[in-house]
Amino acid sequence: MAVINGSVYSVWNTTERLWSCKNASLKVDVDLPDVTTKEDAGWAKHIQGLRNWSIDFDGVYEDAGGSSVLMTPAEILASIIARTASAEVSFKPVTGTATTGWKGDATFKSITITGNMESGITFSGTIVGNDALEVIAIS
Amino acid sequence: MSTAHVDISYSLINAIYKALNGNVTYIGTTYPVYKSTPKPAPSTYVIIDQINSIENGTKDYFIYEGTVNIVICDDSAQRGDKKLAHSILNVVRGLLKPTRASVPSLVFGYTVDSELITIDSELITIDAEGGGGLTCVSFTPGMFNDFVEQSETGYSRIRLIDQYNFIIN
Repeated sequence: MAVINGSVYSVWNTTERLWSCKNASLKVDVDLPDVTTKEDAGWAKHIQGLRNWSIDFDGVYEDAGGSSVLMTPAEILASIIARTASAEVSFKPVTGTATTGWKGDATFKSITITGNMESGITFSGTIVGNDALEVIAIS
Repeated sequence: MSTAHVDISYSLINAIYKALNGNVTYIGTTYPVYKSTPKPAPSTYVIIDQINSIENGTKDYFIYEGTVNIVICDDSAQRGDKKLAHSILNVVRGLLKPTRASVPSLVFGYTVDSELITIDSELITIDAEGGGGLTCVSFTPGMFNDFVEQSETGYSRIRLIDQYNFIIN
């Protein structure tokens, strides 16, 4: 068993990989509605509620030279402005020995592009799942 | 942008040297610029000194961030008069960072003549290969320090240390 280097995991929008990403986090969450009553002897109880997932990402703004296989912050921004319909998004390894990834229908919810003085332009954003999250087996 | 992990330190020293060498002129005198400590040293000179850097890139390529010290050395005075050193520093600053948004025109990539390097480090021949796939994104004035000490010969040793922050990718 070996620790997997996070550098190999990338965010994909169908066939385009997020270019110049530094960090990406897949978050999966389930609501746990409270059903505690006076009969539960002071212990909280809940039931399984709605599930949701999202991906947060950030990186350094860099032009990908018009590549059709690389996704840039400018393309994400244009996608949000155009209210582009949700599409398949993946969180999966590019290379290496990792054998698991995840995918699902999702929408780009936000992108922040920041130009701080005397440093490289950075970006960060969020993708929100629009349906079930599935496991991908990487061969 | 570099997708290969490379040494940028000497390229940066070389690039700053090219920007300064022959151009540090104050009241008709052009002061020498060195990439390493000269032996013997002239009484007044500029040296591109210590570089500290870290790699802070993305998942796709490398980015190098750090600091480089430009030091004005003046051993010519018998008292700690820093006027000449500060005047030279002013010239250096004008060459390296003339405007808020400017970055020096840095040419990265070099070849080293292996025969000369064994004779005298000051005789290293550096030929710019051009490009090298690296760009100086920012070059920003950082911390400034100075110190003055009295040498054994009675002359003052003045060192003005001007630090610049850089980002190279």
